[in-house]
Order: sequence, then C-alpha cells, then structure tokens
Amino acid sequence: MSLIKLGFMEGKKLFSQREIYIALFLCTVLFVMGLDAIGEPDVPLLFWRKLADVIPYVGFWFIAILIVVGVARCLPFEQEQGMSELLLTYKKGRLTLLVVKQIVILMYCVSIVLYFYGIAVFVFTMDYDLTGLFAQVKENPNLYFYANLEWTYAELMIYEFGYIVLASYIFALFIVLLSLFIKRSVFIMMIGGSIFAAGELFDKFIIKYIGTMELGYYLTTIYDYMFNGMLSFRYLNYFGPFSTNEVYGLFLFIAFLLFGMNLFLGRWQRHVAMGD
Amino acid sequence: MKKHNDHEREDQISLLFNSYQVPEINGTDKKETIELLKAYMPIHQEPTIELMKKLVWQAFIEILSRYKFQLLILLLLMFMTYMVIPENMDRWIIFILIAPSPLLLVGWHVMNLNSESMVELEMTYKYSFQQMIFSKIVSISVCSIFIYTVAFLYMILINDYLIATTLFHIAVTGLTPILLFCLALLTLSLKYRNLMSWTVILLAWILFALLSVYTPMGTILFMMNTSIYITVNIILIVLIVYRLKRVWRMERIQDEFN
Amino acid sequence: MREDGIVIKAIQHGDEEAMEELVYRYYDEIFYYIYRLGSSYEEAKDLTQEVFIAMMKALPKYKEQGNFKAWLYKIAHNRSLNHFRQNKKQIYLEVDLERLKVDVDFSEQLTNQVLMKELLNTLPKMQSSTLLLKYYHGFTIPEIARITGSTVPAVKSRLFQGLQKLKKMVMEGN
Repeated sequence: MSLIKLGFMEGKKLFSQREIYIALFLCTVLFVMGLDAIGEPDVPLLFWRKLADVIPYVGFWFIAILIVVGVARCLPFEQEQGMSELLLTYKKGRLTLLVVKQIVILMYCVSIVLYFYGIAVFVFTMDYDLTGLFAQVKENPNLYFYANLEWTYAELMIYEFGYIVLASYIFALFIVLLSLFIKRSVFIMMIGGSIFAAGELFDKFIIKYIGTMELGYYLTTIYDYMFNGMLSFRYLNYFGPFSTNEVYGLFLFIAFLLFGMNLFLGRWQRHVAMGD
Repeated sequence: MKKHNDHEREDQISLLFNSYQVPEINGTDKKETIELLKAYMPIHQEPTIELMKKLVWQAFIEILSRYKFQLLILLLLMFMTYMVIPENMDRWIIFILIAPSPLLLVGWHVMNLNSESMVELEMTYKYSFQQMIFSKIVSISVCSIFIYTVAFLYMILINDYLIATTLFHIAVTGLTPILLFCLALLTLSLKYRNLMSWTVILLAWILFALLSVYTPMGTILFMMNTSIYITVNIILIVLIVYRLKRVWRMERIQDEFN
Repeated sequence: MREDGIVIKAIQHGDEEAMEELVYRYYDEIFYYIYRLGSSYEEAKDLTQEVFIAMMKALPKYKEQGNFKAWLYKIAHNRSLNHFRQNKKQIYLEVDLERLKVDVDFSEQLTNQVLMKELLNTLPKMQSSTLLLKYYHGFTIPEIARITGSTVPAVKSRLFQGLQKLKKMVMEGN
C-alpha cells in the first residue's frame, strides 16, 4: 500500500468519527452565539480586526476541543476495534504508520482552523464592511496580541493562520503522546480536555482570587507558556520575550520535538509489545 | 309458486349446514396444546406505575451507593462555589451553569452501560435493560431537580434583597439546562450509547460555561424573557415524556390484534 | 363455570389450571372454525395451536371487557386467512368443482361432508368465514364485523351473497 493510500485510509478513519460531528455541531452553534454576543457597531477595518482577534479571544477554545475530540481516538482506534495485532505486524512498520497518522493529524488541524475562520468570516460579513484587507494594521491597532504594526491585515492573517495551525498541531501531538500511554480513548479525551479546561478555569476565574499570591504568578507563567498560552496567542504578549519570527521558530522546534518523541516512544512501545 | 321454491331452498340450505359432519377431536391434541402453552405462561407483572416507582427508587439507591463520594464532593464543590463567587450577575449565571452537574456525573454511568458484558449483566436482572435506563435517568433527573431546589432556597437565604419576579426567573432558567441534559441523556442512551459522546457533551458544556461567563453571551441569555424559558421548558418536558414513554414501551410485546 | 374475565385474570397471574380451563373451553370451537374454513385435520390442529400461542403472547397486555371470545376468533380468523393466502395454490387444487355437477341425487351428496366442505371452499374466504361465524358459531353481525375487521354493511352483504351462491348451487344440483 502506498503512503498516499495509507494516508487516505487514516484520514478516512479520523474523519469518520461520529463524535467529531457531534462536537462540530455543538461548537458551531456556540461559536456563532458567542460571535453574535460580542458584536459592536461597525467602523472602518473592524471586520479584519475582529477576524484577527476572534481566535485569540474565544475561538481557540473551539479549536482545542475539536482537537481533543478528534485526536483522542486516533491511536487507540485499532486497539478499540480489536486490531492491535494487525498494527504490530503492519508490513511497513509501526513507525511509518505513526508518521502517516501524525501527518493526517496536521491536515485535521488545518481543516479545523479553516472551518472556524470560515464561520467567523461568514458571521462578520453580515455585520461589518469587508474592505481593508491590504490596509496596515496600525490604522486600527487595538489587537488582542502583539503584531508588527507595519503589516497589512492580509500579512497578519497569513501569519495568524500559520501560528494557530502550529499551536493546535503541538496540542494535537501532545494528545498523541498521551495516547501512547493511555489505552482508552475516552480517558485520553478526558485528560486532554481537563488539562485545557483547568488552564482556562484558572486564567478566567481562579486567578481573580489568587492573583496577588506568589502561587498566582507561577501558575500564570505556566498558563502562558503551556498549551493554553500557545493557543491563545500569549506567546505574542506585548511584553513577552519572543518576536513574531522567534515564536514561529520555537513552535516549529516544539512540533518537531514532539513528532520525533512520539515516533521514538511509539517504536519503543512496539518492541515492548513484541517482546523484543 | 316462487315463494314455495324459496322456502324449499332455504330448507335445503339449513339441511346443508346441519349435514356438515366434523371429525372427532383427538383428546391428546388438547393436552399437547396445553403442554406447549405452559412455556408461554405470563409472568405476573405489577401495575406499571407501581413498577416504575419501585424501579426509580431502586435506581436512586444504587446511584447513591455507587457514587456517594463523588456526589458528596460535587455537592460540597457546588455549595462552596455559591459561597465564593462575588455578588453580581455572574453568581446567578454560575449557579445556573452548575445546576445540571449531578446529571452530568451520573450520565457517565448510564452511558457506560454499553459494553456487552454490562448489557448481559443488566439482562440477567429481573427487569429489562430499557427499564433500567429509564429508572436511572428519571431518578437522577429528580435528584438533580431536588438538589437545584435546595441550592436555590439556600441562595434565597443568602440574598434576601431579591424580588419575587427575579427569583421566579432564576428558578425557571435553572431548570432549562437540567431538562436539556435529561433529554440529551435519553436520546444518546437510546441511539448512541457511548462514553465518548457523553464526554463531547461535557466538553461542550464547559465551553458554553466559559463563553457565558467570559463573554456577554451569558448575560444576554440570562436577561431573556422568562416566558421564552417557560416555553422552552414545556417543549423539553413534552419531549422527555415522549422519549421516556418510548423507552418504557420498548420491551413490551407487540400486540398484533389490538 | 368461571367467567372468561376471571379465568384470564388468573392466567395473567400465572395460574396454569386457568389456562387449561380456557383451552378446554375454546379448543373445539376454534378447531372447527378453522377446519370448516377449509383446512385438513392436521392443518387445523397446527393452526389452533398457533392461535392459542398467539393468545398467550398477547394476554399480558389484554384487558377483558366482555369480548374475549370474539377476540380469540379474531386471532383465529387472521391466522387462518394468512395461512390460506400463503397456501392458496394448494387449496384451489384440492377443490374439485366438477364433483358438484355429477348428475346424481343432490341430497345424497349433501350427506357427504367432503362435498359440503368443497362447496364452502368455492366461496371467497371472507364470505365462507362470515357464513360459518353466523350459522355455526352464533355470532351477531356486529361481532362478525369486529372479528373479520370489516363493517356491518359489508358483513350483511357477504351473508346475502354467500347465501345466494349456495342457493344457486343447490338449484343447480337439483
């Protein structure tokens, strides 16, 4: 079986999960409700500013949840279907399969991000004027995160798209890492979801009570530099240590590291399973 | 003459009917039938309402004994949250958002009845699998509404400035998520009993809770007219009753003659 | 003799003796109804058994309102008609219409039960069942309508037409 065909089969497996569509339906309804709730009177360039802000503001929650739901079952799929032996004896090796699975997950992340941008564009088009894609960011600079003000909104959107795809892919690879150790997809989903939700609960509520304590400071730092911070653009904090290019480099490095780690651990697990 | 002929013919028809000789029935045939029918003797069934009450109570005791620690921790957390949250609109939104938590917790248990071994285990009980699901969902929904009522009374005690209309609005609004989850649990437990689907629902609710508190969405929803919530609740109740009836009847024998 | 309602209640509570009582009470009637509809002895025996099994299956949900006998006949009627529908070809082959036209004394033929059976078989099943229910089992027209799942006028019409046909056959025989 060629690699493309294998990728196609894996993609089919991933996209045929019914839970993804339950989650997609619920998230779409909530996302549209959320977008409606944060509506404001139109001013020039508001469409693009809103579009740039929507993922760092609330959109990353939806992306994170869909990643947890979609990726949690990616690795345990064969085992839960009683095909684990088939996996271990796959002729091109488990390693190839893991590589293909992780590439398919990247495709999934791209699709999810595109989907939410698509909805946001659709909703905002109804409320705001679309012109100004090539206007500079400094003309309406009140962004939710730090960006080069000399950029046009087109450049900003391309950068942001790449950023959120990378951030979500890192989160997805972390879920894959979890699934190398946890056998049941429902627990992977629960743990992945809890890690993310706990971060958000901390940042949005608990910090209000412990913000003045030293513990609050440490926990905020952890939040900023963990998955929640990545997905919510905290790496592009106005007072953060990284430039826009450095963030890309760092994310690429983390993604490669996790990718490689998953392959290594996956291969190691194969040896354990085969009794080598 | 014609009349005479008719009369004759009728006599002949009567004769015709009377002349129909039928064979003697073999006595062993009846005995054979009786022996066969013994296998079909109905098991004595209690009246439906009595049976429902009994099963719901049993399910309630089972859930309490199985989840006593989890439910206790949940209750403590709920009441702690009520005490900690600051006195503004958020308090009521959070109060409403955490109202269906017992249902979410026990929904897990209902959804977990999917593996074959569990189905077999439930099947060995005196009552049907569908009846078990029915009783579990009803008991936890009633339990959730009871906890909500107690929490609501507690909130009234600590917020003595609230006027009656606001209280009524909160009471009605808080019932909506409980009924919504009850319906979701019923629908999923019938069509797609799977822990993953319940986890997705749970994650979606967390997302909704975050959106409600962090964006103006919660306030907008909370400020909606009470009549809208009353209408939604009535629709939900009708749908729940319809679904519950279907669950209960699922195991009944199909009657082809009535 | 206990009333049907009491016997049924007892069966619903798992009383086997009540079941026996009910079988002894209705077995003959049901058997002869099916037999006269055009079955062989063995067929009638099997169908009667099926009718009682179906009755037992439906009994837990049954509520007696004084029409148990009609209800049981309804089961028998439906089962028999289904059976005849499925074995239509076979039944038609068994009917020998030519034998009705033999030029001998018709009254002699009438004493032959096989010929009487064939005579009833020449009628459509709904007509013959209506005649049977009326003349052998003593049901009223509304009761027959319930058993056969039709209306009172339809039953009256079937009775009239059935009788007319029989009269015609008697005339032809004479």
